[in-house]
Amino acid sequence: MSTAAVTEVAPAEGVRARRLRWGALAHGQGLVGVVMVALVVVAGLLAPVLAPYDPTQQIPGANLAPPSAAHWLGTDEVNRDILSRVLHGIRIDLVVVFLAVPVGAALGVALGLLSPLHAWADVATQRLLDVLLAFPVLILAITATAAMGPGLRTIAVVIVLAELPIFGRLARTSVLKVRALPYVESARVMGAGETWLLRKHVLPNSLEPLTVQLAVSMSVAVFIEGAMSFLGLGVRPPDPSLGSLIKDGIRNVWEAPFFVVGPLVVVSMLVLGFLLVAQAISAQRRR
Amino acid sequence: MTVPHLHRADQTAAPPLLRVRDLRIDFAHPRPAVEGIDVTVGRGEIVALVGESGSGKSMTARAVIGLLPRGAVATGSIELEGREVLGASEEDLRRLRGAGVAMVFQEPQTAPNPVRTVGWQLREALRAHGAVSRAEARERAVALLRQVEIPDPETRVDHYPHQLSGGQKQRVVLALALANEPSLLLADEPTTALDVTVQAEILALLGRLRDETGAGVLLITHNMGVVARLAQRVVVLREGRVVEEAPVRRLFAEPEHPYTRQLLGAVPRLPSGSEPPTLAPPPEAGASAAALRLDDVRVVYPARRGQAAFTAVDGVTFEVRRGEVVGLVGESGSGKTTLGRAAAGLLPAAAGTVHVGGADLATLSARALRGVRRGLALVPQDPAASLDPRFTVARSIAEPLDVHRVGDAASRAARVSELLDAVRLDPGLAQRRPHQLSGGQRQRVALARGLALDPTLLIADEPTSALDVSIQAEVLELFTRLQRELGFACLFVSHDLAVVHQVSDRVVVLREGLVVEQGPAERVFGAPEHDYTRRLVAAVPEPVPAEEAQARRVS
Amino acid sequence: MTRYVLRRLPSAVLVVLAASVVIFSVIRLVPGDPVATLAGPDATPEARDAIRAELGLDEPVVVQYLQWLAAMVRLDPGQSYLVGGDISRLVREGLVNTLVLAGGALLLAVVLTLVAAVGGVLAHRRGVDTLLNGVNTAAVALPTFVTGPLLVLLFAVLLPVLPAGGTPPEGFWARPDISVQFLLMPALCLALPAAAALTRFLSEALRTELEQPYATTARALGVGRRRLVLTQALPNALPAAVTVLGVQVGTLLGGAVLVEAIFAWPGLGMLAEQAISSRDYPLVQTLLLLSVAVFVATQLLTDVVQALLDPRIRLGAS
Repeated sequence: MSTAAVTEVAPAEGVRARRLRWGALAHGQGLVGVVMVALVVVAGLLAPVLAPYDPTQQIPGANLAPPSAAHWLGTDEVNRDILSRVLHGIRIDLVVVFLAVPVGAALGVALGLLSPLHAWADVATQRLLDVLLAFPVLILAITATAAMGPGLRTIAVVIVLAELPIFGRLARTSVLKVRALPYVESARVMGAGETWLLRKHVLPNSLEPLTVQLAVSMSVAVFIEGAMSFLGLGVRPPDPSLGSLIKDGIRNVWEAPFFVVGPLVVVSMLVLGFLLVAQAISAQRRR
Repeated sequence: MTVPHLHRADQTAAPPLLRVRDLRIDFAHPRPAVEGIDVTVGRGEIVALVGESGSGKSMTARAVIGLLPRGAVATGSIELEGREVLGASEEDLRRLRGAGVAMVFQEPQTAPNPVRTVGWQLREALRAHGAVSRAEARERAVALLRQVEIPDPETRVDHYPHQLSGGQKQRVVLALALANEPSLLLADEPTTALDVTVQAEILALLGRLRDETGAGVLLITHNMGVVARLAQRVVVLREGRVVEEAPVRRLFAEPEHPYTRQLLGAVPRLPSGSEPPTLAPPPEAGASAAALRLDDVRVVYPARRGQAAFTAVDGVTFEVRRGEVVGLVGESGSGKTTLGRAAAGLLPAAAGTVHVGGADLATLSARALRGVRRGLALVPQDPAASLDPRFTVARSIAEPLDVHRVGDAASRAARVSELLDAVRLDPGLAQRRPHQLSGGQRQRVALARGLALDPTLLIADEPTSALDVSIQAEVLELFTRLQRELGFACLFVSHDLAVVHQVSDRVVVLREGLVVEQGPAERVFGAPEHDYTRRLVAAVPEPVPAEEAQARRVS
Repeated sequence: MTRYVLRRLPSAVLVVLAASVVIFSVIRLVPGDPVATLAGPDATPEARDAIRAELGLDEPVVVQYLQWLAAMVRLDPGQSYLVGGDISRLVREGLVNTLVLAGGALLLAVVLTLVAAVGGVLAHRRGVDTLLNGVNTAAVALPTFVTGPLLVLLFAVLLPVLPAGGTPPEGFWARPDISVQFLLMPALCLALPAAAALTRFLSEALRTELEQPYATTARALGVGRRRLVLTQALPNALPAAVTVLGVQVGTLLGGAVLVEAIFAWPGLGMLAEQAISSRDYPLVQTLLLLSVAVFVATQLLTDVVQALLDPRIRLGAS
């Protein structure tokens, strides 16, 4: 045996070069997605500054006015500025996307991570998630609205409850897979405790596969808000939300076809943006 | 096949069955996978294409059958019965595949379609080269299964692959390849995934089939024992080039190229029957000193969704004394891995006791268990997963020190470089991550991690089985040296008898969860007492050409 | 095989039971007294008590739950508060319409998926892939409440070829040609998201299957790509796709509420919307339990179909 062993070349194929984790978002469809989402997010955050009018202010004489210098997206049937309502409506989605989804995801991951440690807890958690999963999302929305009445709070609860089992299941699968990997077993045999294994190996290595789902869930959340508001289960008037704006726009589509365009474009940008991000990350992971 | 039109230059003799000239296969980036390979195979001839991973042997075979991966560009010439394969249209290639040249693949578990019956798949193979009626196809299918010596072919023809054993599946794959009477058979590591006893049967079958059909065989393998048993001529490849070509006897008797010599030297060998078994050192007294002791151990996998409980091992008793290496051998399904995991405390014993360093694993508190485990280490099998992909080499090696809070940052760093040195790794690798290392390097790191706390017992589960022979030889030598220097005890689990023979003081032979035989390595392999061990030893293909092996046995 | 089904049955029943507890207690949490609403502001305490007794609201909660559950199991959910009439009659009428809609959508989704996924993989051209991928992404990114109105705008207003909404006046079976016209847009609208998700899954699965060793074996035997896809890759990819189809039925159930609202389709979704807005809680409870039961049953069914399609589960190891 010689030191030649040390210079043994690493095989070029088979071993994936580990690219920057977020590299997928710096080019191609990932970048397009990020830009689309970022535009909407910034617009929503800056709504109080950007919006020319108060979203609920009724402007005399401007009934279903077509787009103009004063009202870029026109006005609605009760004389409110649609641009201002869209900008403020985005904020509802920001809460839903960046608060409700992460909360649901975090709770789900916590369940998926901890429940396999105990056989009975695992069974109980799985059955609980089964029950949650037995409700299709919009049916869940109806159930929640029946109990809590319509409103942002209800939307948020629905999204948390819808995401929780998805992330719970995914995290559990991922955790069970990682826990059985040879490097985790080696650490266990050499005397590492459960907390060590969880913190050092299982958690970091299980979370990465969940990033794709996070992006998908965010796009679904925009959809859920829209559908709930469309059905009158969501945000209550006169507060604007993208879903209720689309509903109002459709109702007035004959008199004012421009009405629906603004909210429609914003919703599509958000959904599509998150979708592109999800696709880019999953394409990167497959490489 | 039609008689090929003879080229002017070849008027003196019929062209060989397969003639590969100056084959070069390029991918978009690094160096070419294959750089100017020449190979010929005559009718009825078995030619072995030998090399380690990355040698280009499989790529060459895939080029012959026109199934190169996307993005590969092949230049040069591949003539099959005088007709050029490179550059042929997809439809011409399709007609060629299966009929002119057929391929036998490595992995019998996945090579057949899992949702179609054996008969359906044979019919599909026949149908690809001409219409056949259902009845005709079935008749042919049964005949083919009979030809590859599958018992009860009339019943088996209606079975799905998962209802067959691994060896039978490989026979089915052979039957598929033979369906359209190809003149050339490409066998890509046809027995690598099989147990030795099954491997011996399949190799014998391949030889008989060649005799019956007169087909030429291009045998792609890394296993010199397989080469010796089957091939007539050998072509040795390394990094895409032919290093040496010779008739099999000459190659084994007088290898010319240093790489061939290295390859042959690296093959672990069993003592041949003619050598008298050397007597093992007398067993040490004092069983209490055992590093690992298993008493009447049974391990049961509990019943799960629809599957009944399964007893993997039962009534196993043996011990590993301090400073001793015990090899645990058996074929797949023997329970050797299960037993290794039970010894490591990863699986509970359903009955019996497991003592590590005198402590019964089952009765220990979590805290005490962790203390016992300080003296215990595991070297896993799969180099791809033996290290956390997020950890640097240094962090992986230092993990046991971190877990047990040994020393401070400086002393841990010092220990890491000491260990890197011990396993002969460049200290510059310390900050690399696993994906930047080769398989051999990763297993060295795994070994270094295992040794970090000077364990009294190391459990190694097939630590070298995924490595190339020359790398395996290096890692095994390193292991032996370190074991001698540091004096740790080791339970060495492996399916490879020659590897176990090389590293072990004593051997435990498992079969279907039961201990068949145990004793000093030289005695068990040199003069096996149990019939099963004898069969196992006889099935190991020796790196000695078949005729010579026979001659030696006679003398 | 029968054992396989029987093993899954208890847990499915348990899930539906647990969901019924959730639905029942969630409705009990509702602020406001249904008795007060029913009796009106002028009712005497005696009248309220009478109503309360009639509704069984004076019993302990557990008893109320069991009575409710028993009524559900007997398929006799009782009277609706405000919409009026017998719940089982309301549900029966809506159920037919919803079944036609959801069934049509399911069929459409399956056909679209097979054409797009199998066709795309068979075509094996970069241009086709890009086109399909673009259409697919658009179908996923456009929510139902957007595609619905768009379809109405295109095919009922600008190009008045299809009715904008409603069900055929003479029922579904009298004039199938007219029924198809009424069904086409809502079914397409409902099918689109499911078809997009399924297509994505199936084409990915088919591509993965074509990289499996058995596919290489078949190619090395001279089996053509077309035949390989249709007779080998598809049967291998199908079991998992059926599971995804089962999950998509949930999307369909929820989406039906939206689609029925958009196309004025008098099905269960519309009934649910009415029930919620008029706080007709017995009706809401019934509809929720029904949809959960249907969803769970569908998933049980897809499990069974999946097992039937996969000989490894169907036959077990020998």
